Amino acid sequence: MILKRKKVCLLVCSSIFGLHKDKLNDWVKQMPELGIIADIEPVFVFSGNSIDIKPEVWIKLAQEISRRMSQYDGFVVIHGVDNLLYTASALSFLLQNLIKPVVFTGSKYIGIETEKKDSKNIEIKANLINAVQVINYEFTEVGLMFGNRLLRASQASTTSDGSLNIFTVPDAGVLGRIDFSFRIFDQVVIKNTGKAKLFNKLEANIEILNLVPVINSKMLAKKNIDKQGIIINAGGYQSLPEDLILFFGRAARNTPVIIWSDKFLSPILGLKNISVINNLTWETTITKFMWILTQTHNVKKVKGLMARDIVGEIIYSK
Amino acid sequence: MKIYFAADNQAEEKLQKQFSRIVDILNKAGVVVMSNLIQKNIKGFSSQDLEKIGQSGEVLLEKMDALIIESTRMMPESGYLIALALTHKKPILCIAPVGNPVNNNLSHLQRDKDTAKFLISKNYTENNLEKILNDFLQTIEQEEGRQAPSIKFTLRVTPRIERYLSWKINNTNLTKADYLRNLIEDIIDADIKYQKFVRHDY
Repeated sequence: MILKRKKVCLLVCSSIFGLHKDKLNDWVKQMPELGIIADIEPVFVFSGNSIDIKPEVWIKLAQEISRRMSQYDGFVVIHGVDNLLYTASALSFLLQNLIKPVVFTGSKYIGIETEKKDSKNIEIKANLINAVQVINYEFTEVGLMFGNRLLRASQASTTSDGSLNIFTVPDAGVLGRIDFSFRIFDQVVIKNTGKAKLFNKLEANIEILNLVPVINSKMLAKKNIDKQGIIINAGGYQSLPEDLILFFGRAARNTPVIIWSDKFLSPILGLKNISVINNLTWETTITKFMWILTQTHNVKKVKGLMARDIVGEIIYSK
Repeated sequence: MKIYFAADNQAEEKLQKQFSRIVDILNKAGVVVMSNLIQKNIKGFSSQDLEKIGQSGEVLLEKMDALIIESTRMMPESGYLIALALTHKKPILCIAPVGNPVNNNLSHLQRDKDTAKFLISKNYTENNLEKILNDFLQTIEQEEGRQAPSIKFTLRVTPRIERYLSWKINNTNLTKADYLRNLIEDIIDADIKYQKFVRHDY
């Protein structure tokens, strides 16, 4: 009876029930069940609540993983639910051509005091066991393991149905499922070969706006004079106000602008710096744009890269 | 009672026969067995149940009363199943023929006070296999907390039965379900043939 031992790096990226850095090993030891699946070595990355995670932590996390790529069979990241989609999506762009699994997991109770101590322990333990089990499969993407599904991180969004499946994706982004045991859907998992590529930078000097009637284009011009890019959450809007179109066409004509909306109908003719995005999640739109701006500031190239599927993030409508 | 039975489906024929015997013994004892050996292994669930479980984010192992693993040849997912069952506090029986030592990882779990109480490891022979399985079923039934009724059951009754139950519980603190549960407990206690069966005096 010989079990093949895998070595998993467990990166803690959020405060877990107020656990101190020094107690991390003890916490892992309290879960002897994990040890039957793989050898787990914890690494501390961020001690605050996940709501406080900023792009610097995304880069630190990517570097910690990249540095250890050859030493482990896979990486499991524990992260609070707040900001998780941003971190996981950013990692998809920072760590490209992955050759080992990177699986985010956690629990909706991480960082929150609750009376339901037993259920929160069970939830995080079960999610952790499922995430560690993914390491035993050919999986070369950044994934999310919550509830009974493994999802592509760059296509995920939050659900509000209160189930253990905290996140959701279109059907093509479901990469694995648990019924009795874990099944990976080989045909949809991206296959990478060669060497993983680490990107150490993301452009954080961007402006993010919600399209509302009170936006004043003159104020916007002053505010965005040194910004490298602008993202507008146009929500349910079908077109842009006239003064914004003028602003983007004149003052900001060399600044890449992203309009995120699945309802947008106006073609914005003649404005080469504007991309209308309706096939990415909000979180991925931001992180992809931040990554692209470290590659180029040329508005045409930015537009081209935004339209290109880089890490399987584009959601194709049926 | 629902039990998930996992064993190596690539094992040699002699072992496969043993696996079939295990399933037969469990079926004979009234257990619904789901297994990786059976192609359609979800017979204990309706399609509505499966859809509901899928959407809730739960895993099917959570819905089982116990896990049995034939561990002569440990499968890659055996460790995972054991870990998940322990997390959900499900009793686990690991069995292998006499002469097969307990896996190191399992001995580690048997030394831990939190996991040891859910994990039973036994070596079996042709003669004692049935007893080991039936003893395990008894353990599951007797386990603390398991006496609380938790299994949902749809029972359709006639208007005549409904009227009788309403009349019977009138002026008592019992619900109709309580009354029926008590009645069935009395029947179990009085059923000598069944008592003999669970004590293996047959």
